[in-house]
Amino acid sequence: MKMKTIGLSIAALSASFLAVLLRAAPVARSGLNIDITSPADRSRLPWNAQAPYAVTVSYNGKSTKYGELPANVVVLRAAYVSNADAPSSRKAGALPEGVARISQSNCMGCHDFTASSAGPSFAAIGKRYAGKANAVAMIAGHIRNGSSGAWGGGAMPPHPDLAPVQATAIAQWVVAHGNDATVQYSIGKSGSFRMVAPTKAGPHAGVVLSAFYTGPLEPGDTGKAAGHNTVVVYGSSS
Amino acid sequence: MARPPEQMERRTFLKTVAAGFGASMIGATAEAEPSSAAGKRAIVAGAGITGLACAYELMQHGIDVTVLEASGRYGGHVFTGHDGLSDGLWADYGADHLTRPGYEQFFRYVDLFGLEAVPYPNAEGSPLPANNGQLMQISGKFYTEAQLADPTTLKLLGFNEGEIAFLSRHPWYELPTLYLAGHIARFHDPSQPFGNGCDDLDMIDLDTLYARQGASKRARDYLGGQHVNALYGVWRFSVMKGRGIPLSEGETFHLKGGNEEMPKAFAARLGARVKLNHPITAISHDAGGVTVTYTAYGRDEPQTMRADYLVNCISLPVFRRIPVTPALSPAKQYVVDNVTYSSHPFFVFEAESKFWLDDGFTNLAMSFEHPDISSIWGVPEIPNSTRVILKAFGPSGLSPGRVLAAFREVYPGKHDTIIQALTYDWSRDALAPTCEMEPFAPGTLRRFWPEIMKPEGRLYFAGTYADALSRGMESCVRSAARIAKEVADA
Repeated sequence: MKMKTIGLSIAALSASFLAVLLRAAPVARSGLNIDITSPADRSRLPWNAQAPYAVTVSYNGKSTKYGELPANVVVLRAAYVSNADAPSSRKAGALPEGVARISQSNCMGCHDFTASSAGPSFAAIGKRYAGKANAVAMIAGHIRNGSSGAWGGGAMPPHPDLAPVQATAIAQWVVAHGNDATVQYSIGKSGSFRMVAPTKAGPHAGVVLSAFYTGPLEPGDTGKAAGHNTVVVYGSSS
Repeated sequence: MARPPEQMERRTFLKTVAAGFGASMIGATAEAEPSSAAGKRAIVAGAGITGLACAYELMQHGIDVTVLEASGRYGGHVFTGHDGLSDGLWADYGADHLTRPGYEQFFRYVDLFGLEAVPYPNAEGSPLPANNGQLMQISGKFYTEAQLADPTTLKLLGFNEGEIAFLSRHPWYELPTLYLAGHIARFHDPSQPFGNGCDDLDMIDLDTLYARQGASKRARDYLGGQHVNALYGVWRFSVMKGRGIPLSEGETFHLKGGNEEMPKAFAARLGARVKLNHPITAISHDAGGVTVTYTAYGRDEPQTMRADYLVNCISLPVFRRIPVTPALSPAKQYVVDNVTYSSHPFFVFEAESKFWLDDGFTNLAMSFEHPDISSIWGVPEIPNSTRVILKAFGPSGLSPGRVLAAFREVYPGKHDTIIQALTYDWSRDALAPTCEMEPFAPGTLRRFWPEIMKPEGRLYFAGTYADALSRGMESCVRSAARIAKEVADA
């Protein structure tokens, strides 16, 4: 009887000791992992179709799946490629700094990439100002200080939270690439993209989806991600 | 069975959907269990006030309805906030007020659900009641209404002779009639902005029309109208006139307990038909019905739901992120991609007392020229509290503290008893970022009207934009009731 009690006590002690050890053990920092969970790689969709996507990002033990990382740390790029079979088509170029800043500010509350919202689309702004001298400086100023009258009755609020260099990065991207129909961006862990082809697409043409993390990084981290973060979708004619 | 709208003769269809004549008379007359199982099934996308009202009306028509809402709360942009306030105080951070006249369908629901509308004088800059101590800042100086009717003052401000004569006998808000009365009188059918001898106005803005009519620069500064489609502007005035809504916009009210009492009343009656945290991820439609793909809260795998009809009550900038198969027609896609909305925050100040009385002001209803605050007004007293809620207009993105600092810079009194400032930043709300529809731009009315009112096969569209008079929550519930009837009759 006594032995049994002691045995139980030892077991209880071991359990509590283990628990202390577990609590005391340093949490291993897990790297950045980005998975495009939908659509499937090498799937096929009709040209011009609008299709849903879903992305899961985890970093440092936190995941978008559980709301530990906000949805707006995810940016999806959908880019047309004439030969989706070419290995080079899967090599995702870096995300433009301006798009990363857009995802982290409140731009999307009033703007969309290609359609009107409370404010003009980035495509419309890009179309109006592409190639115009001083346009980047002017738009960066509008982002920082607010503006009104250029696009209708609404007013652009000031964004004192954005540093001048960040506002300039946004303005540079909008002016140079905002109106590029072959590269689309979407912000959020889920959303949609379009199967856009600039001209008549060949049999190997498709859209490459690349997902990016735009949240803060721990010191020393590069943002290089593991996981299934690039997906090819072939276009079909019907 | 009535013909589907797409088969109806165009003018008949327009008359049916126009301005809510008839449509607004349906529903809200009696609360009853579904009268008949019509055998129809409908999905409503979005549980903002439009979606909830539409689902309620569909239920009244005996239609089996499910509401899929992406966020964890219903009500969307109708949001009454309590957080951060003491004494049970609250503030409406979205839809601010109702008007009478102008909210006839909404008031039917107020009566039906036993809610109480509380007078909310001078709400959001309303000029009513008149001569209630309002002050307007012009070139740094504050003016009372009586001063703004004084010919000497009007001349100093830069109005022309005709305007001075008019404004010495009429309130400022009636100034549009000095220049547009002749145009407004040409419109007789709220469904027909075209064919009234004013079609050329589609190509210019309202400011240009005022200038053509002889308005002074000072009057044009007050009237606004830059970038506003002139035909839309004149037609809108005519629809308001037809519905008996004065240019003052009518007397203002809010609901006892906050305007979210209305979404709550709808939701209580809809019960388990409202599915929260069920975002729609794709819509496919065909001649026989609609299939919606969605995710249920906490579930990863997509699920599908089939129905005879889908009523989209999600604001269009959010709706267009959802893939629709087959794609919408180019005419409907234009509407979805180009309707523009306003989006602005209210800044809420909590004060310990009516401090302005100590400064000799009978009311706190003031407009300012400061870039960080354009107006302030008081909210009716809330029972069991001596504290006071004030609301202010300022630009989106500013901190409440900065807007309060601006108020303290321009307030013409000596002191205030404000103890905190709050806001809700709609621009960071991914699911309900937009408020009201902005006026159409010059040259675009023909592309929007009447397409904006039409269904696309089995997909129907309701919202503040889907009414001949886009005007706050009333246009939401009017379009909701109209669409519910169209679905019931289809």
